[in-house]
Amino acid sequence: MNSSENEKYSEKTLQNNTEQLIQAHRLNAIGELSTRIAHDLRNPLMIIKTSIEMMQVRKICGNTDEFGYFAKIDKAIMRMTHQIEEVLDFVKPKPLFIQTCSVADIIKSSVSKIVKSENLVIIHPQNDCLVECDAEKLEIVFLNLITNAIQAMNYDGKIDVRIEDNGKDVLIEIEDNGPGIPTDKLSKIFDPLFTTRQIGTGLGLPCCKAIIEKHGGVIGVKTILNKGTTFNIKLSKNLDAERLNEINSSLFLVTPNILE
Amino acid sequence: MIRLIVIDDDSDLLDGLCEFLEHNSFNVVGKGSNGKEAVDLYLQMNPDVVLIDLSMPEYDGNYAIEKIREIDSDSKIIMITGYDTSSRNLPLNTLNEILTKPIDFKQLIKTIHNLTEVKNELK
Repeated sequence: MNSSENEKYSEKTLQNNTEQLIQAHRLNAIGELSTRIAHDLRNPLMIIKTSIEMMQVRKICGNTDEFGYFAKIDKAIMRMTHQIEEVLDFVKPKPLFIQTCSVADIIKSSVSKIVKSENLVIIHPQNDCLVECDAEKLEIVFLNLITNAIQAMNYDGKIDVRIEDNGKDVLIEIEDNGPGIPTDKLSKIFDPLFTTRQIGTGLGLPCCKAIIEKHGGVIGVKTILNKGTTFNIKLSKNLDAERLNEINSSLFLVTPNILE
Repeated sequence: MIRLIVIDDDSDLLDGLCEFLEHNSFNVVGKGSNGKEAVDLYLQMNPDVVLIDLSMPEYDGNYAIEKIREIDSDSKIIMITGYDTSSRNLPLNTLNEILTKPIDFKQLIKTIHNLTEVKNELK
């Protein structure tokens, strides 16, 4: 490289570093702003929630129709709360809190938080595996994937959750018999803000991907139109400490990663 | 009956939460809107449990927790906050429990009972 090429190279590196720094500052500002907005929204949400609870227990409104409205308001509060959490998880990723956990227990806990319907069947894994992971974060992943599957099937269908112990790794599969994902949308599902639902934030799957990648794992998807979709997650049973430090200190990046 | 003080600067939230607690057979012996009032109420009422917000004008939740812990290191304090549990402002090591708004009511009741059971066993 001659001196002119050297100069150009340095200039380009400097420009790249400056852009990265500006981007990091922007991300930080968005994070701070989101935290503030989330905090300010949670108070009125709690007032609504408490008021609804008291109206129900005091039977201020008693007929069946009115209880239907309460249930709708309650569901709306849950939706808003979930969306706030999803935005915060995305803009302010937290360090992992690693413990040895049972994958089956985490899945069980996720399923317990899901609103089920009569026509929905969730098949729990037959086996289990212990994994070094952040159970709370993995619960967010399973909750997101199972909720997505339920919504894709319109609350009517079968979800099969499987765990496969592969020695050093564990493979977790969540299969639904829903409509599948069209090819033109498949490459975008892990992109931030991409959503096919009116009420979605488009942050659920990017969050899942970020959490799995923070664990040093891989998430992928296989889909067949009108037959169903399977999300698969591969995790190492034991996390390398050096790798973990590296993951926790890295910037939050989301890139598409589709497994065929 | 379990005796509580509840501190939050949002008066609508405070009133609603106190009403809910009383309806669920807890005895709310005091309510306040900042950290200074929390400390005064703690000294006056010696409650079993303190429910307190973090962000409040003038004297915040951190101020109150520090003072209450000085008065009684075994005091039972639950923080109810709109901040995320990972927020750097939270005094996690000095709290017994932290619940994020809007709180799960069943979890709140369970948390209060768990804390007071521990306290009673120690007594």
